[in-house]
Amino acid sequence: MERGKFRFASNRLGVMASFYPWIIDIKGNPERVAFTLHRLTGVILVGFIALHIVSTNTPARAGWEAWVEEVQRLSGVNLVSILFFIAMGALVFHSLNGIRLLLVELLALGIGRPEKPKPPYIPPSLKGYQRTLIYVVFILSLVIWALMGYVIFLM
Amino acid sequence: MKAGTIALIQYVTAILMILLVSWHVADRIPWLHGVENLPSTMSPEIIYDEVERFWPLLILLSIAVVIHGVNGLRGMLLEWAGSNERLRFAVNILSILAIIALLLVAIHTIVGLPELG
Amino acid sequence: MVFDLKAATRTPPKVVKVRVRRYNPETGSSWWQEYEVETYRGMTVLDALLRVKAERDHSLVFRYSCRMGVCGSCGLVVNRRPRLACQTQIAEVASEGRPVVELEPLYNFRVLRDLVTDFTEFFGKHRAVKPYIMRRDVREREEPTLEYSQTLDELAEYYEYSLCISCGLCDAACPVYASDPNFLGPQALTQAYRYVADTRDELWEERLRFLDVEGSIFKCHFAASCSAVCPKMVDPAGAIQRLRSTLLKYKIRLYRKTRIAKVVPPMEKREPPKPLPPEATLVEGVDLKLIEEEKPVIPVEKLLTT
Repeated sequence: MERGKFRFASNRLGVMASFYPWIIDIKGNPERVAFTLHRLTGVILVGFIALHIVSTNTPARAGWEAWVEEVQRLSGVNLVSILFFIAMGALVFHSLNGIRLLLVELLALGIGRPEKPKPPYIPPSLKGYQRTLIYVVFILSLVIWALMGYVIFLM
Repeated sequence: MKAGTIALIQYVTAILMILLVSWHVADRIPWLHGVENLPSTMSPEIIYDEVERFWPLLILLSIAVVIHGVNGLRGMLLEWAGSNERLRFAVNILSILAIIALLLVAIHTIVGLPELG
Repeated sequence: MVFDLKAATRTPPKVVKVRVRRYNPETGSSWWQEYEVETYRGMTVLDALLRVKAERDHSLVFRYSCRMGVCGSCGLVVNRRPRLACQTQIAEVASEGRPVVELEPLYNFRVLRDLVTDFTEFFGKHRAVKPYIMRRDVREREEPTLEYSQTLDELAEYYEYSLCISCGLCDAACPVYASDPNFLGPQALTQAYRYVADTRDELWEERLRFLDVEGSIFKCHFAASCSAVCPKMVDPAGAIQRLRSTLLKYKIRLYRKTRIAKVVPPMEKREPPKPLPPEATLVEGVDLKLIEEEKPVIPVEKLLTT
């Protein structure tokens, strides 16, 4: 950026700010972690959905025998089933956090009422029940993910 | 299209997906089908039966999923593209193409499902 | 921002290292410089910077004005968190275990020199959302003859958002603003909602329609970092969610502003004068009735011109 003989530096954090929450100090801001995970799992899921749509096309493309062979690749612990397991974890978190985001973004619920500032100065949107929901989402998705892991790997 | 309309589509597909995806995933629970592991829930008989009975739901699910997913990715790519008009145009066109291509494959999966046996 | 209310009562470490990320626009070079500063109880980061400038290095450049969290000019990044330098106690950010205060210019802004950032883009975006009351009757707004009526409940709807001091901390913390230069940013969007929620604003539809474009409000994904760093508890994150909800409801014809404030004459009702206590005696020559009837004469024109 030139102006006369001076050069001014851009101080933008760039795309990393969306994928690495600790690029700034986020004490007291778990929403940021949820936001980052929502993005990350979203990207994972787009890849998974593309693969999923192509792979479920197998019966129509190559017949049922090829489909049975394809499904068998999911049994046991191997690269395909591990990737599938990761995609399922992404799916669970993305859906549960998505419900929370629908409440907050679409209906503006869970973010308190506007209020006059008074000590200790916690903004209403960080005191609303969406904050509780974050922890519910984190714990519930871990539990469901573990159950899915049991179904995928141990049965 | 206006950004608000796209956002509305994004939210509506999200609500649809919460219902449809949970059904779609729950249908893979082994105990419901009385079989002992995950791959067995995807045997040709079960899949054929499911597609026969619920094909409208499956098509709706694929439409919602593809639009929601590609549009979400498009949003992130547009952030990265910044104010580069050519790049933005390319991202938009590629998103539409990706939606159409994936939907064609999904519909082919259901329409072109071979008979059992 | 959640304030450490007791921080000013604690004693900070005796000597802290103030590390400053400096920038020289003439050579385009950027480097970290370290100063050791002796502290005292109640010392703020701005005090430390002023001491460095007075005693160590007069070439250090930073911006400040009011020194008490009102003007919003001294925003900078302290230990990777956007803060107002004048409102941040050294004791809050440095401890005996880690007596280091790292100072950087605000993220996502253009750096002019050292800690001074360029707010042209920021105020441009603020201006773009038309942050003023819009009425059909422009003449009445510009040269008011009467008052707009508003209840206390209606005031409470937007009062919090009107406390913004435009310090830019929210934009510095926003992850979307960091990657997308077209995004309006939390500050501008909050101000947009402040006027949409204001009952005195008549042309709210115009503002909503302006916001219904790519890269404005729908880029926000509720990371809520803006609310977490706001030094005035303005709560941009909450405002943006309400604005988005309003806009989406408006798009599917579910939202109408229920009440637009009308102009009303000022309140005329006066309380009856209290009777004098029986023991009071009047100064000779004063007529109580005359004082009640006579209006005080204040030369308003004279007051305005001087």
